[in-house]
Amino acid sequence: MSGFTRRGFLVMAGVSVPAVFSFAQSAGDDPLLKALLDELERSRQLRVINGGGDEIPYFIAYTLGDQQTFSVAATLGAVTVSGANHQRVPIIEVRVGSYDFDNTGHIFSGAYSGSRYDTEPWPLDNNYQNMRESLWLATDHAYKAAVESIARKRAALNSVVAPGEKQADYSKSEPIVSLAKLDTPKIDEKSLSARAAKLSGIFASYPEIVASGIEISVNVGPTYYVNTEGTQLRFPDDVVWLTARAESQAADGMLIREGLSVASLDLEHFPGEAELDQGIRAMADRVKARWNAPVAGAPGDSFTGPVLFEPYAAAQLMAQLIGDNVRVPRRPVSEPGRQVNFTPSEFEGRIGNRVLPDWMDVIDDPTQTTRQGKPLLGFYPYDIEGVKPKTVTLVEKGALKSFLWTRLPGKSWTASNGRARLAASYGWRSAAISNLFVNASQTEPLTGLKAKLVQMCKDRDKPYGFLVRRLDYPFASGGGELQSLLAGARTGGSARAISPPTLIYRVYPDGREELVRGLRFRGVSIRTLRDILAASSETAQFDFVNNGAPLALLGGGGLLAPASVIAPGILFDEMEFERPQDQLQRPPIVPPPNAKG
Amino acid sequence: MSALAQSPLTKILSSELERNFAALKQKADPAPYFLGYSVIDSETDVIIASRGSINGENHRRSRVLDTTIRIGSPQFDNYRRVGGQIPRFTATTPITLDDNEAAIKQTVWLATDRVYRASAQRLIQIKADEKLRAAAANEKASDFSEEKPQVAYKQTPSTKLNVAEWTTRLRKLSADFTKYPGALNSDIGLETERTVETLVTSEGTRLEHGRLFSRIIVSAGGKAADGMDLSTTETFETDDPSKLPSDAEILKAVETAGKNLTDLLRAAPADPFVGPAILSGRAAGVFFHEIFGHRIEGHRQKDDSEGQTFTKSVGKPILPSFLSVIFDPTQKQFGSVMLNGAYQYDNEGVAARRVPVVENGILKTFLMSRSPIDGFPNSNGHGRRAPGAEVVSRQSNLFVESTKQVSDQQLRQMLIEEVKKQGKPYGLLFDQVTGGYTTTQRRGLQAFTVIPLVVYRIYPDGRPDELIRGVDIVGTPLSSFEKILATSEKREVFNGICGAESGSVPVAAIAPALLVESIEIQRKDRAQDSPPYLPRPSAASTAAPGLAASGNGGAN
Repeated sequence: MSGFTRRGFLVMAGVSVPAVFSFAQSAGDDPLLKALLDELERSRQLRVINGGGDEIPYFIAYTLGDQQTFSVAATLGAVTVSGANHQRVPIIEVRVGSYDFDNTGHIFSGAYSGSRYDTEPWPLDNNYQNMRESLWLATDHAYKAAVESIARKRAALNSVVAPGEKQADYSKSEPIVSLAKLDTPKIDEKSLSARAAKLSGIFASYPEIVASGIEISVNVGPTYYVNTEGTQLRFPDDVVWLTARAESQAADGMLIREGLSVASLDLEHFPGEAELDQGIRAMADRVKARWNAPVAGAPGDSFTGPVLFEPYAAAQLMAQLIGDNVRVPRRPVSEPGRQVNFTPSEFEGRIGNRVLPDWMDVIDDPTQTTRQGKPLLGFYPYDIEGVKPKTVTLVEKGALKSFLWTRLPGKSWTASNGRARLAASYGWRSAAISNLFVNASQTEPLTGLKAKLVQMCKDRDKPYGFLVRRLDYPFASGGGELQSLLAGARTGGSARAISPPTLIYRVYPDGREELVRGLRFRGVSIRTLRDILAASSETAQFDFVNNGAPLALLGGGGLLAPASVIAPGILFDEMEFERPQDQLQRPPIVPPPNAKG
Repeated sequence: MSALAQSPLTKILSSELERNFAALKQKADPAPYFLGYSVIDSETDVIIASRGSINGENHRRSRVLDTTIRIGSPQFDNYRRVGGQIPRFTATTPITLDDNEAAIKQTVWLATDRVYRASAQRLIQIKADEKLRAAAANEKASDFSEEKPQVAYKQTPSTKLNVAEWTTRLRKLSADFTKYPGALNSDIGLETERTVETLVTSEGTRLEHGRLFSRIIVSAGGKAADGMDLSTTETFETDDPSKLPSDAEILKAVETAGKNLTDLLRAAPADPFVGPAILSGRAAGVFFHEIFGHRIEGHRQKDDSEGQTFTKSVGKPILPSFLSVIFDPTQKQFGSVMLNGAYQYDNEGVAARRVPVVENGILKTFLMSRSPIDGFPNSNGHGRRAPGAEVVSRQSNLFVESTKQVSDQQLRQMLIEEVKKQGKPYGLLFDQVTGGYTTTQRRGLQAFTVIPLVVYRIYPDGRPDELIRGVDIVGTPLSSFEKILATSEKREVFNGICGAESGSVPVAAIAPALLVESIEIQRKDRAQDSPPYLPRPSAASTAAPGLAASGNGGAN
């Protein structure tokens, strides 16, 4: 399979019709849809033969992404890798048992000990019979895996104390039929390659930057979702995504890394040359500024003080603190004593509790497509469980009201609100935010907040406070740095790591701002939100592509959930920063090859 | 072909090599004594068709850099093997597809810095750690041999696969598998590749050389009623895609694979058996590659964690006296068949040459890279790797030569006589086998990883040959070699891709059929799951009411 494996569930246009059509009628002249529906219907007959057991499939769903992809990488003005691909990516879901108790949710759910015959790439031709055959083999495999999983789950539950409150394993959903017209845009590979090469050339004029690159990925084409409850969806599922990275090394050995992620939900709305050029230059300028900035203290030092997040950085922070905690994963069933890798929501069990100041609300709204004329990335008409998403008020007057739900029930769950957007283990799907609006009813201009910050420093006899303009989120500093950060968070007592600030300034009593480098957050968690003192009247929209990886690690693949977060600037009473103890790498012995003069 | 014909890439790499090497020699501590850059430019096309549809179609081009830095001295450097560990310093780094000097130089510089750090760190560690030092000191041979630098700029012809034409052809040809309902999955895959290596070293080597490779793989897989998984494969290899087989030849391969699979699905499962057998030429080739070839790779002789089957056997008989084994990467063809293990220079820039490894049954030498072993101070042009791996000694074209040849018919007659002599009910014919990575490590089981695909029972009473399925070979390599009684006259070619420590490299084995006095087989473990519960879908099978019939060997 190709290395470009992005899939999302994004819809631009969908024609909804009532769910009363029969399968044969609605499939029309689309052989793929017809194959999906016919094999789905036939698969209801699946039974274990000669093996005993009476597990029958109570729910089957097929997802098929029909993806035209193109990806090009370039460095210093020239292309290094490029590739185009057409692939059909299936997700076959077979549930045995019942909505109350099924094969999902065991640590080995989905694992199968037998052999499988559905592993080859799927047919690319619109060949009805071949698609049926691929579905047949894949469904057989998924069914056998489900039968094996439910047996394991029963055995495991037999030896553990039953939990007090029993929750169902799945929930019903109203069938939806919506078959959008297919109109897959053509990818202009040549012009995208030229654009990537040109943009990557910008870094060449920054001698501070030693390594850099641009990657543009385009993924267009329809996604199909059909299930045995009667849902039939077909919609265009496009995303265009540019990532840029730059790395520099300060004279003291500290690595300085910057990333940029620019995405759009279709080719048409992808930013033009001038806007991208400006974005890359701003990014390169940030590297240069940090390269010239002093280091904040010695390794191991920590600092506390009042902190002002400008709107963009506040949105990046909220994407993590709110975004990662408003989804409530369930702990999988396992044999007693087995270690399970599981990070619960810090908000779990706190419905009704105050989590923000009472003048703040948080709303997640996937139905909005634009804000102030600018496209929002979190729009999608159906989630990956075929559910139409609803607007959800997460926090009202500072109190936690609701969570983002998939079709997996949980404590305080009433119904899916259509947030199944990312892959998860154990046969589940993971919820993710869409367009997250952090609203404040009491605000003042940023200049006022900065004045407050300065005053607080004076009142508390602090030599300076902190101003944060940008975080490294999605995380662009690479896997090694991520491990160090996650380990640091654990020793610092946080449930989750928070992306470190890239643009952080000391603000002195005279109002002077000084960029410093090398700081990380320490001990920041949802409790920090209670230290919010004030919010700005200015707001910013932060767009990113959530891939489910820790800190939305830049470049991670798999299912993607593009999102936008809109937030005001936020003043915190106090936050702690630390300078990590990490070993710094000596700069290269050989001088760079392209040094001028 | 003159030295003046060097490509812009060679010039860019050479200039960055000189700059980095000079600076490191002057300023780095410890200083390197060798620096090499290798860029593999590869362009591939892949088309996969199954049952009348195209399932994959992909074009890809890449240029990746590997960097080698040796620090210390040729007698003792950062590559010294300690405790079986093959150190890896390089990591494939993509460079720009066109010859953009500034971008390539920047990439090369960064890679050099990264590889230098890792290399220096390991050398310092080996020298400082008492235990490692003791282990390293046991090795008498030095770490890097002296070889003559090579300068050659060879053109590699460019080719163009007619993707549209092949897509149409493969779509049509692959539909022929629908005649074999037992084939749960089946496909025809076409792969063409053009690779060019550019190698520059601080010793003065400047090489540009490459190869073309095209291959069609026809394969089918199915599941017997008892759950046993079975598969068959037919392949064609050639250099230029214009020499790929005709539709008729491919259809013949589909028929062979389809029919073999159908027969296997119906065949009786193998019973445990010890007795005489014939290995077909292709099977014998795999046999020699896996159980013999891997054990005479030079680097295994200097590693205590290896079995070192032949380390102390130089000058001694290790095969019957009528057999010789030669590795010869300079042979591009055997008859009309392309040999996949051919090359002009190995990945250390050493010129390819003919290496007689076993002469009249006597072991003469090992396959050598530039990593010397006691008594063998030089490379014989077998240092190979895939991009991203470090070089070790690997096989090329393995030729088995025999002075005890009989006709195929006589060989079969000899088998029958041997069956009678041993009082066995039947003998075995291994027609098709496939290879896997042989475990040569001391800790592991020194067993075959030759996987038989098509095996027949040969009865002495004139009954027709009987196909059996699920054959697993038991036994140790050395004992099998002692029991070769005779060979056929005709030799066959097995072309393959060999995977081992230094990645996948193309190889070939050319061998006559072998009659062995005794081979032991058992029945392989079968999967516990059933064939698909529902029958293969057909246009008429939509929403058929009631319970579906059980699949019988996938056939319906």
